[in-house]
Amino acid sequence: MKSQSEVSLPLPMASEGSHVRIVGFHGNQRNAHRLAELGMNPGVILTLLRNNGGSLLVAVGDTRLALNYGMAQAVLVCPLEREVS
Amino acid sequence: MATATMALPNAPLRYTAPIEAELDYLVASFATMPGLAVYPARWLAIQLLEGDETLLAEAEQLAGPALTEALEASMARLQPHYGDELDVALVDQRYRFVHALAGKSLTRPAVPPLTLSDRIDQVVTHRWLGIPIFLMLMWLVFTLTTEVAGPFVDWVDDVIAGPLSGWATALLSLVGLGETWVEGLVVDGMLAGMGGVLVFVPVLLSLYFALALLEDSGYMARAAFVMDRLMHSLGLHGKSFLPMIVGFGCTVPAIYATRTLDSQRDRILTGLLVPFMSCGARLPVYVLIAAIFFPAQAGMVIFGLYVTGIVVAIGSGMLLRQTVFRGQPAAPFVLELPPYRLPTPRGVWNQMWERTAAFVRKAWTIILGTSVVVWLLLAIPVRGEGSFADAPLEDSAFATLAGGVTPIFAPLGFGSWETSGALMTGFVAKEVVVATLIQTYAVDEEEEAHEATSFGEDVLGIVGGFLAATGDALLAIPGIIGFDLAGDEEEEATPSGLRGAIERGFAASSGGHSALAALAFLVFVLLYTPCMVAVAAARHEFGPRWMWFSIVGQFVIAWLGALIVFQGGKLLGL
Amino acid sequence: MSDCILALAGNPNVGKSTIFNALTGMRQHIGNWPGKTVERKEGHVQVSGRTMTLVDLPGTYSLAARSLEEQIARDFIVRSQPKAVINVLDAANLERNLYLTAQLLETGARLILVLNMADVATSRGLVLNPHALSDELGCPAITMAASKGQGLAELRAALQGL
Repeated sequence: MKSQSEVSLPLPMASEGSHVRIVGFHGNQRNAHRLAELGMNPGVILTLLRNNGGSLLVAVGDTRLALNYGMAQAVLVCPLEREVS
Repeated sequence: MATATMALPNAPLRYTAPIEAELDYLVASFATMPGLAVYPARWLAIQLLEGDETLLAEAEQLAGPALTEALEASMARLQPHYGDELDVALVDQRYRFVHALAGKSLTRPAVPPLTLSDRIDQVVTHRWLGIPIFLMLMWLVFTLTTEVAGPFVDWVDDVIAGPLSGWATALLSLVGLGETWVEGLVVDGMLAGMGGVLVFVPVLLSLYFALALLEDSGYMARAAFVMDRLMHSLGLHGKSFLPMIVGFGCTVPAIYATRTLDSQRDRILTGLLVPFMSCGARLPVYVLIAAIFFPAQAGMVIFGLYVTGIVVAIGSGMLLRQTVFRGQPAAPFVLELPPYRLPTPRGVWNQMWERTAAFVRKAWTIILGTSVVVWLLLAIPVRGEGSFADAPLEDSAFATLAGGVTPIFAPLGFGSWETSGALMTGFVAKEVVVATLIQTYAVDEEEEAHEATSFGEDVLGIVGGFLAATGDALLAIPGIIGFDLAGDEEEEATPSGLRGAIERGFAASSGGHSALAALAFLVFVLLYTPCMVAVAAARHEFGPRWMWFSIVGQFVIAWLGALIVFQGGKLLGL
Repeated sequence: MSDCILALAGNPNVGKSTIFNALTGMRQHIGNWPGKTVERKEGHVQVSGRTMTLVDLPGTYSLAARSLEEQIARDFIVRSQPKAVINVLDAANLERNLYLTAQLLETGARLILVLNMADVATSRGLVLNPHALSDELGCPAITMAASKGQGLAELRAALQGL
């Protein structure tokens, strides 16, 4: 897989079903730390399983996480092209 | 890959060179600060670099400013490498170590299968299906609690009122205390109080059974996700829904459950709304009053009360968000969704049992104590000719005390000393409302002639009653899903004397609008302070200021709610 | 009576309480952590004539002490210095669970790793190699399916070696 572009956007802007790579965090460092501990580190690839208007469900490896809008907003991601499987 | 550490057993986690250099520096500095010997030195250094504030405060107490200086020097040297994200960098490097470790101890299939969990989630967390599924499950929990527990509640009642009271009377007669005030205290005060606690056990067991199933299966976390958007309108987020659901069982654990929330603001706001979720203790009051005044629509009335509680919570939440908590948005949250799992019978049983037992341990003293105090106050005459335990109830200390507050309830249609008294004791615990109503309205009722039964017959009766209750409960289960096997011909048999007394009481205090007054009474019971224990929990969790805010707020809302029902109903000509 | 203290640590939802119940049976005491309102469960484990005290720590993802639960777990491990920490992991989500293990190792605690829910992992096609983990970290690693009672005998054997 390769990245479509290097533009980064807040996670809630990504579309349902897409794969994204975490680029970084902005805002409260505490939230960033919490997310990193759960496996959401910069460079990690996520699958956005659900995007219910800001309430998100993501897959990080074997972990499934639910994030509310406030938390998801702090995650900057870069959308990837669909994986060639 | 972490090639350097591959061959070594006990391979330690090494951070990047700049961090390792600072760890060495800090460990060396700590060695000169004797107070810090209680901590593993390298661990302390890592934690402090990662920005652990509570630990820093602790360590500063022990080591003084030298520690702060050393740490600041290290941080300053790392700043060019990691900017403000040193903590995330440390987490990231730990994950790299872990990733290498997992690579060696775990082989993954080439094509990861779509797990069953993911497939269930595609339906359960669906944008449109999610909320209906959630509501359906909550409806199942609610019916399970009421329908299945119902027969057992009746059984507990029968056992206490029948054989147990009979045995106590017989025992007291043996020691020469029959027909005395001691008999009254034991049977009408203590046993009735005990019944008040035990009646709860079936309700709580079935509620906690349902909650344990939802929790252990992994659904609860999905519910939080699904409800997040709806809760957002209350200024809360999905995680607040868990305490709210627990609130349908008992307000006390629900208030403690707010602790799972991350911010103080979310905890307090949730804690203020949780009491409006109608708890199991209020149910017996609804059942008694609804069976008397609305025998045909009792189920609808009770369900309507639950909905009213939710609506009031939503309204209060929106109001509080705009006023007291203005400008404080809901805290960001992240929640793991564990994979779905078949709950184990043992795990479910443990949760049911532990939570129910915890409630009984906490509540029995308060409930029993209140019953005894009410009995005493009823027994002590303050006017008239009667003597202790042998006086008309209208002359008792209780009637005088309760009579003092009746004007408050007069505009609501239930300004009699009996109902006021029941609401006063209801402040202590909702389950005593029924007990007090029975004590005040029906103590003078003629003792149901107890046929002399032998001990053996009593035991048979108890066992037989339990089996019959089990049968009824099992028959009720298909009813929940929509089949009605049990039939409804047997309606709640409220003792006719009590029924008549309560009907007459409400008719007198409401000027003939007894049904409206009864409804207003139920709304008041729904909305005012759930119980003493809940107040204590709120004080413990949120402090005295919020405790008083909660008590006063709920009283005002309950009073207004009951006023709207009664006066509004009268205006509409009901 | 009790000759040593053990702690049970792990992420939330990894079957920690099932293992706690299986090890301690009815010999449990439930209370609160001193000054806190978080539940504290303690029980006794009998291993070949010895009695060990097992303390169930709150389920946490990390020891960074950003929450009350994390602080309790961390303080207990660092201050009370249990003889060993039984670290329960979800075998079907090994990597995320090993993060806590990495932090536990940093405290210098002696670990016993329990890869619980091995049955779920197997059903997902994951092949576990506990020996590799054991060699790499220098501590016993046991696969377990606690809800089916598998692996408990091995854990008891590991406790015997303490």
